[in-house]
Amino acid sequence: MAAPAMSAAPASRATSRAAYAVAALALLTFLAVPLVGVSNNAIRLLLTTFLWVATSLAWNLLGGVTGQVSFGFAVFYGLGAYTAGLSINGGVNPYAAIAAGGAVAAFGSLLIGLPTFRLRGPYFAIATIGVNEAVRIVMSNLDITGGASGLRLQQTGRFSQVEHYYAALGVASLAFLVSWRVMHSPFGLALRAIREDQDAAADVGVHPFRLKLAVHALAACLTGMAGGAFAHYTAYIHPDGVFAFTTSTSILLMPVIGGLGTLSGPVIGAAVYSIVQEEMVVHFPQFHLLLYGALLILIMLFEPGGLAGLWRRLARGLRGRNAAGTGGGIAAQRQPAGGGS
Amino acid sequence: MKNTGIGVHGGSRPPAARPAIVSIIVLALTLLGPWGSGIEAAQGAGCPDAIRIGMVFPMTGREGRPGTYQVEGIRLAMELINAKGGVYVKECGKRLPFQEILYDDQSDQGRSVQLVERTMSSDNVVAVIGAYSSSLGQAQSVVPDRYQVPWISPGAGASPIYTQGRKWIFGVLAPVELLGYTTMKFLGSLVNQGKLEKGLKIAIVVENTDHGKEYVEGVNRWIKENPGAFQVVYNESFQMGGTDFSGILQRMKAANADIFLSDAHLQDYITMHRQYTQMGLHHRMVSYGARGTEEPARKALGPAADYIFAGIWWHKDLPYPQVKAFVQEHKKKYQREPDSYYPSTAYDAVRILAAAIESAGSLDRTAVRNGLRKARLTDSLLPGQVLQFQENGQAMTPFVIVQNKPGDKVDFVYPEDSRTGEVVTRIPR
Repeated sequence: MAAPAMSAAPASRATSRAAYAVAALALLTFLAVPLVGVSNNAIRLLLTTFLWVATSLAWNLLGGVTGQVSFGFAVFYGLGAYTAGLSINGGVNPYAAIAAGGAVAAFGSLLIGLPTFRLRGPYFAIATIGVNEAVRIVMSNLDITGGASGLRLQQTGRFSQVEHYYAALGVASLAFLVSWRVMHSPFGLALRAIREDQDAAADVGVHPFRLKLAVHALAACLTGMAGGAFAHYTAYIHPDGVFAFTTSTSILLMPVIGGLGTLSGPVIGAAVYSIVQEEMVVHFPQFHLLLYGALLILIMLFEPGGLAGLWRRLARGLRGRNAAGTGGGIAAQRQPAGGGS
Repeated sequence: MKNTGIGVHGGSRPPAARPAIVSIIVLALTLLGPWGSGIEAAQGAGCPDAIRIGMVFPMTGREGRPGTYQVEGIRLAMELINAKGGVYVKECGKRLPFQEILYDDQSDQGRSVQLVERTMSSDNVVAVIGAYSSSLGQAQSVVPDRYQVPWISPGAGASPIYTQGRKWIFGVLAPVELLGYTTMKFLGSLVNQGKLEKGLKIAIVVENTDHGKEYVEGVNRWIKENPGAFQVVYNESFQMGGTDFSGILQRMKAANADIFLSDAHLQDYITMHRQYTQMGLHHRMVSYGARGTEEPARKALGPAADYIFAGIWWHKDLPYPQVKAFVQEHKKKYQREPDSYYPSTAYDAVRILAAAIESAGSLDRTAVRNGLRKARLTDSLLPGQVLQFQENGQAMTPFVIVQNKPGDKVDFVYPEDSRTGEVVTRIPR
């Protein structure tokens, strides 16, 4: 949505303003949705989408902006869910419990990050898979969490889907704001430098290890909060659900589909993922993974910039046509592809 | 690290890529169509053309086979009821056929919840029949009270599902605790008959779920009531869906028990007993809880599955006329006899739902829920022939004990009055 901080051209500032306006309008629209009599099913789909948006944006900070591909974000989602669940069962206010979920996930990310960020590239990715599986198995055998029987959350008061909807929207909005802030700060610039060349970044004074730990904690916190909101909503969580490897891959796939390293990409990816996935499961239960895989391959083959990249290309094409002969198209083509659109 | 390697930058695309990209957009938009659309449209005043029933079962994934069997049982019951014109609904003044709305949750808990919510919130169903397995049942059982839609599970037997004070959930399976208790009662009867010696050592290996815990509770309750009859020398749990049970089996071997009792789901039973056989383990008697007679297991394990005994909710050889009729209809529709309890409880779930709707005389969900509370199916397929729900929504039918015999044969061995063959208390080596 917003142009990268490095390009301070007036045109980019105008684009940013337009993007903020779109974001604000989207937020107002989503705030109004439950008030205009939208179906329960649509509310449920939006609620799920918001939670995926939060995790997708969070993963993007580490994977898209910093270039560290983690297959272990289900750990943070699960830690957040279990922390919130146990806290709620202990009588803590649900929203404080969700925040606690974020805090515990952030702490967990430090424990995981300290050894794994010593590794680079595929070694880091493989290590995160191992951590994910190890945590899932431990959680399946811990009595305090209910083990493999799962954890039932005590429900007090009447269930209100709208209340959960707003909680999920809040978490997604927070993830969006944090992502926006990071991507438009010197911190975000340093993270991009690490993504492009970690050694070169270190040579110019960036401390890759510390910054990776910091962004990992930030992303884990947001993911943990999403997990906490999910637990509060479903009232029953299970290690094979929240800590599942498929949860990790889902979290990773959404920004890939939408567009890595951008702000709008993970949001689009999460929206497409949650809705397309459910419709595919419903209409093509035997083939949905195949179809989903094919869709993913198509995106990666023909538009590695994801759906956000596709959008940029279409917009560029339209602008180029409108400004044919004026040079506008050339200017548009010079915009960096991986910026903070 | 240079970049993520997944493709951060778009780069230039060949012109040929454009149609593919447009195709992706069209596909996505097509799939986005049902989002918030009219699928939730109310049925409107008056009577519908059919009684819509949501069904959420695992038809693929780890629990795919039992889930599919349950769906087959439901479809058979619906087909037979519809063939007679359907269920009489008094307020409509006519019979209405059942109409299924089926979703496959792929044995995934998260998806199971998602689909139950979907069907309850958008498919305008009168009731939902769902969940094979206690773990999927745990997940689904949160939803019915929220949407106030009656939910019947033909395949979730763990009691904690039904002890949360929920008002809209019903379960056809008797509690797993009763399975453990009945298993011990059967073994105790063998001691009384002098077929087993007093004080034999028992090793217990169960899945680390509510199902497994409850089974052990049942075993322990009987042992507490009958001190000295048996002694438990080994009690351990395993991770469900495992691929290697050799460690736990090795430790069990060291315990030198006489009888091996396990509580496992079908896949785990097959995997564990294959490893048990490969390791050359041997006990006088072996049970895997409610598993043992299933055709896939007998095919996979061959003679190694002979003499395993099981406490089961139902068997096709139960001597009731309605069971014989069910088996015939099942064979007619699916070209095979039911090899396990799975389709029978699902079949009865539909029948008791039909009875509840008839007694309610309405498709109003609250009336149907109240009808289910009072319903009493007196020609049930299940042991005892009476199916009704307790205060907490769970049925309490007795278990019977069967034992595999060579040649794919199965004998009833407990209770005594239903015995069809002699119990083997020392498995031949």
